[in-house]
Amino acid sequence: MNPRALVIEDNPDNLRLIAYALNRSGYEVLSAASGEQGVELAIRERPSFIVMDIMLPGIDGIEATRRIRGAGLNYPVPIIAMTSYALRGDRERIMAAGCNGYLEKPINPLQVVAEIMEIVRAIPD
Amino acid sequence: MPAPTISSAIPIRRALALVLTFWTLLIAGSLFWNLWAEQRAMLHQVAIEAEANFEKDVAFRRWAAQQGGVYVPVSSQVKPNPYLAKLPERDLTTSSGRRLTLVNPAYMTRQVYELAARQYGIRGHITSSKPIRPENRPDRWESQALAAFSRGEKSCSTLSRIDGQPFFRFMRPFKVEQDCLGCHDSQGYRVGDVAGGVSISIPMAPYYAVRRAQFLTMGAWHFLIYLTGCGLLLWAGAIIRRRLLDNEHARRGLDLDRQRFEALFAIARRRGGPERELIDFALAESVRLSSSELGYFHFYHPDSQEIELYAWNAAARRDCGLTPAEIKTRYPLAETGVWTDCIRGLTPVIHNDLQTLPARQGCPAGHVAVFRHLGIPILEQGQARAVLGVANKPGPYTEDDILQLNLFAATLWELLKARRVEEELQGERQRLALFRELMEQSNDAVFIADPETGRILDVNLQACRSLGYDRETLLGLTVMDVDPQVTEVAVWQQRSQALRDKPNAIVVSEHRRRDGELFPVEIYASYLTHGGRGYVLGTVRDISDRRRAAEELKRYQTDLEGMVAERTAALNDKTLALERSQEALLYLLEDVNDSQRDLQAANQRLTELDRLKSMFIASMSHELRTPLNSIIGFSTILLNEWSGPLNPEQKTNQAIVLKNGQHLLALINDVIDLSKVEAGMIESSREEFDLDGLIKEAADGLRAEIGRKGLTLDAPDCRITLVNDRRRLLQCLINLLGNAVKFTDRGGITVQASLLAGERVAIVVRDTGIGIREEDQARLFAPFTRLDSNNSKYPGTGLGLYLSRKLALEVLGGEITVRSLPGEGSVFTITIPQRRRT
Repeated sequence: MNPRALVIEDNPDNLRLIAYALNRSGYEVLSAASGEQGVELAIRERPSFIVMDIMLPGIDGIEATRRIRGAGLNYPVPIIAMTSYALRGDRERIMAAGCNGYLEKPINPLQVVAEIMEIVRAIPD
Repeated sequence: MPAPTISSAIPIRRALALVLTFWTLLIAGSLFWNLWAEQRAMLHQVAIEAEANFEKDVAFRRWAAQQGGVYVPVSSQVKPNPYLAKLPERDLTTSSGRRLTLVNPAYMTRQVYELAARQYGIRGHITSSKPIRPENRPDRWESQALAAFSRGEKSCSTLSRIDGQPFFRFMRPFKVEQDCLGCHDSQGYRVGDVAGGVSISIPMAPYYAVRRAQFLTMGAWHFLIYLTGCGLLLWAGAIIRRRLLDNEHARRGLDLDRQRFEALFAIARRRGGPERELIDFALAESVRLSSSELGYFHFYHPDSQEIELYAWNAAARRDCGLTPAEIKTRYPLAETGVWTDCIRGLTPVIHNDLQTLPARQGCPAGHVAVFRHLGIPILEQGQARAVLGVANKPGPYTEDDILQLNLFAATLWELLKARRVEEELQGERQRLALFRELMEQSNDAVFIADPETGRILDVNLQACRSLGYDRETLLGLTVMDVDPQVTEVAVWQQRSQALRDKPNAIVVSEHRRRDGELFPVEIYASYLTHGGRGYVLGTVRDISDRRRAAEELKRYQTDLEGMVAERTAALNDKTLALERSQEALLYLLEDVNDSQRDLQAANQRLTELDRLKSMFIASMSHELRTPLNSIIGFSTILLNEWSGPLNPEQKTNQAIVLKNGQHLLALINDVIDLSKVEAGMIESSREEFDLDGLIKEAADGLRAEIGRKGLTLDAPDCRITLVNDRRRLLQCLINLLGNAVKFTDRGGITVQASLLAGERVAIVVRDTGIGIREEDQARLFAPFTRLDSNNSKYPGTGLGLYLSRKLALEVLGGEITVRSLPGEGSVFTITIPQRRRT
């Protein structure tokens, strides 16, 4: 049974890109195309980690992160945001909402999994 | 105090043992000597008896011999002696017909001996070495004696046995005497010869019986005396031992008393110094002298029934597991455990086995273990005010300890009280001095007068000055002398009385100086009572100035009124003119309002523009980059053969796609950055980082290109740490380095960083490239400038330097400058503060 990652991304191309990299590293990829769906899947499926796009239809990635954190899961699921790093304050908002780290777009498929692992490993117990 | 042991107890025991041994030896010796003496006496007595017997026998026998024998009637006992048969007159017959026979001395003696032996046991035996009768043969002992006599011995006497019975045997030789020859001459004896001997054997049994009785008595008495002696010795020994013990005890007691007194003196001597020091010292002494381990001193507040924790000795503080924060300062008495029993009972309490008490509590976790405890309450007028406690003495606490600590506690309390009183007194004195000083220094004149007589009792310096009297004189005057409005005593008394009812009053009056001059005064008077007496206190202020000021004021007022009237007239004229101007102004205002509205609209549009700009930047960031994400990403995937193998041609084609995608992304990033900088919305961060690492990172990205062009790159360590926006600095450096590589075909590039004055850092990128012409240097940093616009040999966006410089200025807080000579290369310098403040 492969470990599972949840990717919350509404752009199908981006999703395919990151899923490619995750699959190659042995992860089974669950996906959600909206914030609400993402929260539901996170709670139900309990993935090893979550990659969360910030720009989403409906509730954005920040709100989705807050809801997941507030859902009272019995394990501290790592949430890694994906951002285009546009404006001042974005980084602070992302971290304040409860994300453990972020990836900057564009994603480099060769390195993205290593970057995710680095973020996950850096989470204090 | 521990039970006294006597070091001198050992000698006592030893001495006692020694004496007892000596006594035993003495008694034993006495007994044996006595017994031996008795024995000798007995033997002596027996010898005497034997000898006496012998002599008596000899006497009788001699007499018989002198008579030539005696005639005795013949009977069954006395038969005619056959050995005398040859004597002619051996037998006689009396005229009455009784037959008499001659009994020779020996025969007589023999007969007597037989009688004696029967009668009282003493045996006699006439014997000789040449016996006539066979019964006269000597027995073994007698033979030996006879042999001794022939050797010249005079007598023989020994203890011996005859037929198993003990006898004392005595024998003397019998010397032949003239008279003996009458019958014995035929045996060839001569006078002086040893004819034989007579042995007397005295039975010892009676003597032995006596001796046994004597021995027993002796023994018994000796034993009695011995026991008595032993008893006396032991008793004496016990008394001495007791005496020594008492001495030791007394000595210890004295010692302890001495220590106590010393400690008390030490406590008393410490009356100076802070209260805490005193208590700590007394506590330490209490602990020491009661041989305890721990000690404490706490106050008790009877009104609130609370214990206030105050001091512990050094050992308790050290061993306590609680932090100072965990210890509450105040505890209600009810919450404390058995250690405060002394407060509840108002008497010292000893707990020698604290761990066994069920009710012990009041010790929070972490409190040091207490197994013995003595609490002394300090009482004041029947209420407990403090408690002194000691704990964990190795032995049990005694009345002695209570006595001692009571003394300490009492002394300590007295000292504390005395100190407090003294402090208060000191405070009072200071306050008094201060008050006096204030009064003296006051700018107002202060008087104290008697309410009845008006006599001035006390004044301050200002009072003397204001009236022109010296202090002594002034104190001899009355209020009437000084205040002309108080004409006589009665008036004064009235005023005093009024003051008494209304304690404070302000009176306006006059004072008369020594030279008679009057001046107006304001008097703040009050009535005081102190120590049972009444006083009037007056603070007097010279108000001549005030009067003068009031008059001046009135003058000004009058002038002012005149001026006001003038001005009013002028004002009326002006008002008319003003009204006319007002009308004109109104028209103007309308115009202004219109402009304002326009301005507001423009403002709104500008705000809207700003908002749109932000949205543009934000969405452009996202929208433009999103497709590129896919282009670059999937190109990478394809190129790395994740979707399957590629042939070389496909790889080349794919690489082109990737390269162009990346180029487009670079362009977009630059444009976005530029927009942000222009809009003033560039975000900046600040972190501490190592410059060497940054330079290395910048260089790493270009190493491939450097290698391909055959250039060198030299970047020596600078070991500088910066506090600035690492990302943006990296961006600038990559830009400069990229340019250096781009415009250099041979030679090398150096990157060198150094510290400047004023805490600034300069990063210098030097290349041996084609250089820049002077006229071009001016527009180098302008946007969209490419110095070789038509030359596609050097690809670029034309934005790099413009953006880098903007970043350096806006974000890094520094500048980028250039020096260059065409053909010789260029030197670009980034100068930034080492630690950016904002």
